[in-house]
This record gives sequence, structure tokens and C-alpha cells, in this order.
Amino acid sequence: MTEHDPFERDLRHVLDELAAVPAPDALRARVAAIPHLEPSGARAGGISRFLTARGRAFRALSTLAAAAVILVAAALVVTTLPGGGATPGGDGGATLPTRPAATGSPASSAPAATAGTVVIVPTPLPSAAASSSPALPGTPSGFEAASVTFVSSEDGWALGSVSCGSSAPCAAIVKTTDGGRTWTQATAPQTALHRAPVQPGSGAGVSGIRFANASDGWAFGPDLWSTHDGGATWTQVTIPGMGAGTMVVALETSDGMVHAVAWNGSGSYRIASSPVGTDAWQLSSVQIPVGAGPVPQIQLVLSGSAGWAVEVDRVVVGGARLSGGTWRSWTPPCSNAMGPALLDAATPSDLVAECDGGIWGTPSDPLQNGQHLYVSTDGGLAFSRSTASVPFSNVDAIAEPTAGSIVLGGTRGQATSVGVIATSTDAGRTWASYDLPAGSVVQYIGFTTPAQGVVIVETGTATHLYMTYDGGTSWTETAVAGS
Amino acid sequence: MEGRPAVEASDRHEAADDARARAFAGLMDRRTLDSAYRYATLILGDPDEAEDATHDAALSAWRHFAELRDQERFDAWFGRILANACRDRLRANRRVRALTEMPAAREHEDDLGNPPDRHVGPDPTDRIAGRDAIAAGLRRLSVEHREVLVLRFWADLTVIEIAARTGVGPGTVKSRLHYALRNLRASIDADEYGRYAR
Repeated sequence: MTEHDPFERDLRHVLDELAAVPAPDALRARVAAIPHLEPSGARAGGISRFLTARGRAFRALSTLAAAAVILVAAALVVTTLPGGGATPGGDGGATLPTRPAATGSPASSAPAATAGTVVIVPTPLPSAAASSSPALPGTPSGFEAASVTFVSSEDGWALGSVSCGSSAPCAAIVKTTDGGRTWTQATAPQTALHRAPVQPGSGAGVSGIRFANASDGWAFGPDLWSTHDGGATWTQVTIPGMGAGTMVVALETSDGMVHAVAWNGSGSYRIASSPVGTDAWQLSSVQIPVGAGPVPQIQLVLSGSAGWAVEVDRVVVGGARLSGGTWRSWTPPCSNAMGPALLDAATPSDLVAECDGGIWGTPSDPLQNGQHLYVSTDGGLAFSRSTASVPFSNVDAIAEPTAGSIVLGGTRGQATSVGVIATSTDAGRTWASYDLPAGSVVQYIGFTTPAQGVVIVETGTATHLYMTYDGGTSWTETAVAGS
Repeated sequence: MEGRPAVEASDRHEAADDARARAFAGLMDRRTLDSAYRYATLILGDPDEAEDATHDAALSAWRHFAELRDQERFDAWFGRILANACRDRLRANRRVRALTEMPAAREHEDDLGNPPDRHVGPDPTDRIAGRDAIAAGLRRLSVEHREVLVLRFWADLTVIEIAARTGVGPGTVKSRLHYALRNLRASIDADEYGRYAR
């Protein structure tokens, strides 16, 4: 949160003004009476229901009078209150009886798909109240996937978290050799899994994983670890010229090179590159501005020897483009649309962007208002606005498996958000979509081949991987480990 | 002597109950109740509903107080209980009073008798109109979006803390924050408040 942002400053003032009234004395009296009504903490639900329903009447009474009436009522009530209470287990403290969260309840049955459209057959997802199910053979118990990478249609790795007795979850890695159908535990760098946004002061650890081939891989965000023996051993590395406290905020590999976006907490983003077989990182001269909003984010996309970096901080702030082995400043699509943008590339020439214009101001081009798709066929030098429509309102991830084929992940609806994956094979003219379980949020979409891709979905506090082997026509959940 | 063990056991239980009640009262102090009531007011938009939700949360906290292993984490623990109590009340009542229908934010002294802060800017009329628009926009948000905005911009929690408080993952929190701000921003006239743009 930046103190200089006028909108957020006004938002804070409004919230302070709306919450200006302190707790009334009647509420203090009611709360003070609680231990006296239930000295041992035993449930007497009729009492509390009586208190809640008649709370307004008691506000006019003195503390003593209220307590006297309550005691009389307690002697007459025999019913019990239905289960209540929270599950503050995420705070590392109490273990209250759990109940399903407001969102994230598992679907009771597989939702129906419209004819000829995406068919997703998710396995029943665990509710927040479910106890841990047995771990699959070879996978660490309680593994939650945070990032996934494939180097072929068979070989892939997933980075996730496991409990390890410390306050922060430990990083863990699982590997597949059958295209994600089964997974086994692999060696992970000895560090924490970083779940917060990578920002100054957000702590150490890693949040992403990428492999270039069966031998060379990296775990990153904010720290950087590399392996050159297929994950048997990991070494923490630094990027020369960036200084202490440098965070790696994005990393991708393609065409024998690995590229990372690094930031030392001040100044601009920088891009460093290295051949995949070594850790010979070199900084490029290009600098990408960070932006003035609260949560700057860099998206790094590679295809063959080409690459693009887009910085979004509420609006498109800046970018860089890789061509001929050199990163140079580049103006991403939707730079004047006053909203965010997402980008992917099917080939070094074919790119697609989804933009949501007009959120933070008036676009210079009125046609950029609202959600639109933009396509480029010249490697990002020029984009044209597609006449295709975006099938839902909140897009969180985009992928382009082949030129003209688009996969979107996000949520639709505002009062009740529903996670959705939508696929088009005709550049967005028609879409096949499927709703994910309630409360789901799509975190990532990636394709290894035109046919095989993976989606990371967060539902409540659990994450799930969905695989497609037919270009997004159908998806199946892959059980990485017991939850 | 016969009967002494029962008497001693009773004394021990009473002493334990007293200790527990004192510890609970110490944690459920004025600051905690004020903060809880203010949060409930922001979420529910109605002072009576906020009072009942805060009481429900306090009652639930008392009943499960023995399960709080680390009293240093009381704020986060109770905050989660309170968030659930507010959502339960919304589900039960299926209504949310307009935040703008609440009594106008009163200028009041704080507990130490200090006068209220006065936000003086170069253009007070525009500022007031802008804040009214924000208040109206908050009313139109879903409870999930209002929740993350309140926890982020009023309670100053981090994404991880918000995730623990609301029972969802950090990615969901980030997504909700993004769309909550977007939806709130979209409800405000972009031309009139172009100063909010980059």
C-alpha cells in the first residue's frame, strides 16, 4: 500500500469514518456476562440464542439487570445451539472444531457440461473440515502444489509445501515421468515455500520452479536455487551486480537459455540471463519501471529464442522484449488502456493479450474500454484488437497452446465468484467453458505441447492440479498428494 | 475425612474457572471489543447486527477458549471467529444495510479526549464527494470483496494474514483484492476522479 496513492488514501479515510463508533456499553456488558453464564464454557445454546435475538432489548438495561434476567432464562432453556466457531488453524494457534469455510465447499456432484464443450471431471475436493487423507505412495503427506513445470509430455516437477515443524512451511518437490498421472517425492532445496507476494520484507524462500531439461532446473521467488543434476542437489545462487536482498520475481527458460527478472526493492526491474547448463548470469542493460501501485507484478513469456516481459501495477507500466539474444525496452499492448494486461505466446511471432481497460482512468482510445483480446503476428511489434469477446469478467491467467487457440482461467460473478476455465480454438469467436468447484481461483495455466497443459487451481486453502491432454478440450484433476 | 476429596475437587474447578474467566476478560478488553465491533460494522453495515455478531463471536471464543494454545495469537484467533460470525449473520439475514444509511460518521473524541483528525486538503468539496462515492461503492461489493478490502486497508493485514483470517489461500486473497479494487474503482466516475489514475 503506498501512502501517496490518493484512491487508497481516500479509501482508508472512508473506512475509518464508517467504523468511527466504538463498541457500545451494552455490548461490553453482554460480553462481560458470558463467563458468568457459562463458567465451564459448556454449551447452553438456548441461552445464547435468546441473548442474540433479544440483544436489542438488553441494550437498555444496566449490566446487573441484564445479568439477572439472563440467569433466569438460563434456568429455563434446555435446547443446544448448532455448532459454531472458527478454524483459526492457519494462525498456528487454536484447533477449534472445524466447519466448512464460506467458500471452497466441494461440489457434491460433477457439474454438467454443455454439449460439445469442455468436459472436466474433477475428483471430489476436500473441504476445509476434512481430515488429512492418506498420502499417495512416494509423495509427502500434506503436499500442496504451488508451481509446476514440464520439459516433455512425460517429465515434470511440482514445487509445493509440507509442514516441517517450523512456522513457515518447507519447500517440497514431487516429480512425474508419466505426464502428471502419478508423482513421487524428489529432493528439494532446504528452504521455505514462499506463499506471500514477492515484495521487500516478505521473507525468504521459493515460490516457483522451472526446468529446462532433465538436468537443469531452478527454484525461485524471492531466492534463487539451481540444480544441474536433475534435482539431486540444489545450490543457492546470486545474480551478479544486483546486490544483497535481490528478489527473483519471475523466471522462464527456452531455447537453451534461462531468463530471470530481478528486483532489489528499489529502482527498476532488471533481467538477467544464463545458459541453462551453468550459473553464468549476466544482467541486461534494460530497466523496467516498477510502477506506483501497491502490488507490482512482472509477467515473463518465452517462445523459442523470443521473449517478452510485461510489468503491471494496476495498469501496464512497461516492458521488455528479447530479440536476437538481447533484451530491449518494449511497449506492451494496452499500455494506455488504464488497466491490467495478460500475455502469452504460441510461437516467436504469435502472441495474444487479454486486457481490461478503463479501470483506473479513461483510455486514450475509447475502444480500449472494457475487456478485449489483442493479437500480434509479428512478435509483439504491433497488436490488433480482436472482435472476439472475453467469456467471463475476471481473467487471472491466459495461455496460447497454438496460434489461434486460447485458454483463459479466472472467475465470473461478483456476489459469488465461480472459478472457470474457458477454451477457444478459433481465436475467441467461440468458447467452451467449465465451472470449477465453488470458491476456486485459477492461479496458473501452462502448456508443454499444443495438446498437454496444466492448470493450478486454489480452492479454499488447498491447491489442485488439472491436466489436459487434448489442448484444453477436457481436463482431469491429477492427485499429486494427500491433502 | 469423608467428603473432603469432592470438596477439594470442587474448589479446584472453581479456581480453574476463575482463572480462565480472568484470562478471557484480560484478552477481551476494551481495545479488542472496539476493534471487533468496528470490523463488524464495516462488514455488516448495521450497528445492531454488528453488536450481535460481536457478541456471538465472543461467546464462541469463550466456549473454545481452552483450545487457544498461545495467547499471543489471540487477536488473529478471535479475528477469524469474528469474520465467520459476520458471514454467518449475513447468510442468516440475507440482507446488508447500506453503509451509507448508517449514522453519518460522527466527529468524536478518542478515548483520551483528543479532538478528531481533520482531513484538510486543497479541494475539500471534491474530497467529500469522492469519499461518498467510495462509501456507496463499498455497499455494492460482495461480502468477500468487502472483507478483503477492510482487512487490507482498515486492519492493515498482509495477504498471508488475510488468508489465515478468511480461510482461503493467498492466491485467492490476491485475486479478491484485485477485483475488489477494480469493482470499487469502476463504480466511481472515472472522469471525475481521474486523479486516481496513474
